Amino acid sequence: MSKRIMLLVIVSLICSNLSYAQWIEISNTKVTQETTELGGPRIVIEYDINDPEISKDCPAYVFIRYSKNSGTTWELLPMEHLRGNGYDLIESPGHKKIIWWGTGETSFADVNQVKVRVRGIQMVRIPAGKFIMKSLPGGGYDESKNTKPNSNLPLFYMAKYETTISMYTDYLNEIGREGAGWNNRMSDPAAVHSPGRCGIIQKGFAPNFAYSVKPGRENYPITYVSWYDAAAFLRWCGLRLPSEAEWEKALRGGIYLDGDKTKQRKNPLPERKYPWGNKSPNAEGVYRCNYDGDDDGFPYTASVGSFDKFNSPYGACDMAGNVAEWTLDWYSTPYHTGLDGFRMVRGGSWMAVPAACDAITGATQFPLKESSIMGFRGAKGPGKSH
Amino acid sequence: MKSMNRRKFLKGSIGAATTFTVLSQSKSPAAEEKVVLGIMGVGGRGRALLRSLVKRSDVKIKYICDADTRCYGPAAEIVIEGHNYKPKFVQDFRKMLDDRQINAIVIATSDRWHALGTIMACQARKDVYVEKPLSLSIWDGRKMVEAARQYKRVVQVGTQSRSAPYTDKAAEYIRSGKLGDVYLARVFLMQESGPIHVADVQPVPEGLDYNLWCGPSPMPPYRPGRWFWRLWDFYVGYIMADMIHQVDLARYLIGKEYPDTVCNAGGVYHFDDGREQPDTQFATFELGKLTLLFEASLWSPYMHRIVHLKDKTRFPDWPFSATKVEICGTKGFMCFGRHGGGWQVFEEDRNIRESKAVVSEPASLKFGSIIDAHFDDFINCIRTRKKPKADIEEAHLSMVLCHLANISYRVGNRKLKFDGATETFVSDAEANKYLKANYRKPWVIPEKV
Repeated sequence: MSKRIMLLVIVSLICSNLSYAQWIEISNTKVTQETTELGGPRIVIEYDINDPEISKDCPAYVFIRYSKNSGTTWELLPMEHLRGNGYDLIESPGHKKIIWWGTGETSFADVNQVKVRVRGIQMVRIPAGKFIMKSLPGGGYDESKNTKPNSNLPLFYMAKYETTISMYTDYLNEIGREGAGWNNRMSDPAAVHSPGRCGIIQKGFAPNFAYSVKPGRENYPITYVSWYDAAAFLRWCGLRLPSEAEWEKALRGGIYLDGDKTKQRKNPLPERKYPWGNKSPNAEGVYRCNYDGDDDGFPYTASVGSFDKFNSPYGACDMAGNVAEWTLDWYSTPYHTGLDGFRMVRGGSWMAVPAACDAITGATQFPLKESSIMGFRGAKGPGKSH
Repeated sequence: MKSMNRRKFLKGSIGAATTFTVLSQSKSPAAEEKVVLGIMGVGGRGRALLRSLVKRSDVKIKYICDADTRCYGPAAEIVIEGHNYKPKFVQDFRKMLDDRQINAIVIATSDRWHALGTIMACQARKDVYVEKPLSLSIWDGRKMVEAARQYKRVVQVGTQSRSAPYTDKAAEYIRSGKLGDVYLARVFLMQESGPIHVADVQPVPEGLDYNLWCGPSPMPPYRPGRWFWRLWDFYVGYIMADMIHQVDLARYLIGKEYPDTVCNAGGVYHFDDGREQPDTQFATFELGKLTLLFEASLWSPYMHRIVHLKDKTRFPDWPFSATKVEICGTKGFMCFGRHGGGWQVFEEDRNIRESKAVVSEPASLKFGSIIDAHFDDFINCIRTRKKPKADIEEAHLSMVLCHLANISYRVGNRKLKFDGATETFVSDAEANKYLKANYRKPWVIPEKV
């Protein structure tokens, strides 16, 4: 899989490239500040996004973060301040233009102090409609839900890949100068007893920590992230974790893959066990995902997209195995209503038996748990957030 | 005898009144040796126990075992992270029993496997830690005690509140007479709970041995979720499954064994989910000159469980404590809090005609420290062959009270006379029918263990 590139853009048009795997490549970024007669000042951000995979079914989620103090602190640019064709969900490649209409934010006294970063994440579109939900979200009881899980979900989008080590490192370099979001188990991939570690190297001292990735580890999924770490990363992007229902639908597909509005493409296997169908992950000597052992070629995590021939009907990669994925759902039993604070993970992992890499198996985890077998991916859609 | 033959023998022993002679004679590990463990059931509770066990350098977790192979990954990860080795995984617990290196089995399955799993482990000369609630019936529990004694096994039960350091002090306070004569004790489990959802019938998932998973209980068509918590054949009900902690504490504090009578009140008043067990229970026990009350409800959001107070100097707001024990003596009144609540004693100050705290001992415990202390006791007893603080018989006697309240409910909330010497009801054929659970062949607990 080709490496993606994110461009760092400075308003004064001094641009620098940072290479972070799994952000979609964005190039030729240009930022200008203009004054208008009636609308006040505005900033125009232009860039090219040429990934040929970008389409209505596989859009790019583009978000912009900016700093008013030369990169000391950063903020997510609110989408409601933007106009144009280059933010949020982008359904076609090409040249994009964003107009940042603001009030206070766009009249910067010193534009040389302003930095803007444009990043994109590959998503897949999951059309609105019914699907066959087989698990009981939240382990069967969550006080915030109705008795029956919602099997008729509105349109939503989910990241095509699990969040990678390099994406998370990029995030750390923005928010982790004091050490937030990082723990030392993310560090050494050669640790004898836990070779699944990430390889994120922390250097310097608070409040000026800097992070880099051990070469070769960029495209591997981030692990050792707590539920709170995952939620914070996704808030930083403007996304959220998927619910268990969303996760299961993204794996299995709706009854109609094009959704209930058009009903043109009937899902041939709406009750499938795995993203690719019903064959076991290791049936007939074919290895369809990264599960326990190294028969599949990966004793620990695999770089994301390594099993892209076995995607979900919507094209989501690695929904079976590799890393179990945090979801939005609480786990709660009738015992301890909302008291235990567990969260659910789904999708098996590189340490799971093949059967656990299916559509319905989940595990309860303390939200503070940082594990070599757990990562996450983002979702965007209506509904609650963190 | 070879391993395979031994396993066949174990299989053959199920349901038969077999005399066990030659089995894996795992000797107690020497002080410098690690205690080798296998853990049976690695769902949520099993993984919680693993997290405590991997803190210890004096144990080796050789096996993790679950009828559902899908539980393997999250459990194995805990052992690898904590102990730097990969445990073996087995789906059938009998393979662990065959291994002579195994000193003890930790049983954290659902309740239906507690009794037979313990008995078979004792037969295989393994020491046992078994989770609460101990048993599905009084008879099950008695057979567990018999197996422990016959095979001279250490069997500790997961009523870990006995290992809280402040428990002994409170018990000693009562035994010293400082509370006066104790005529009344109240045990609470009043909290908010929720309905048990029942999913549609589905094919059995790949990787799950559903027959083994159901074990001694019936095997209805597969559904995901906790549907089985509604049924007597699988579960003693949430009230007793959790209240057993406080019941055991109360019995430890008051030092009593069997009641003379039991009378339950209550029913399924709040939930409409097909559950068989009551959501409201008020049970009265007569133990000589002491009356013991259970007060339990699952619909009380204003009551709060004590899950380790953040401020370690504080005490629960006792009137709203969901899991407290109250001991009423002629001199003083004791409030005792489960898992991190500490204890206080109040006495009348005649000068101001108010009750004042004369003893206040907060718990000052970190979350998880009680289970760590409980395992300290277990491992120590494996080496010394002493009885653990939460010995199987103590846990059985506490569980008897829970079963008695349930049986009174099942016969129409009648007052029942109980004979502790025989562990049967006095001249009450209807109540005696409930002394023994239903078992599904071949997972039948033998008359003679």
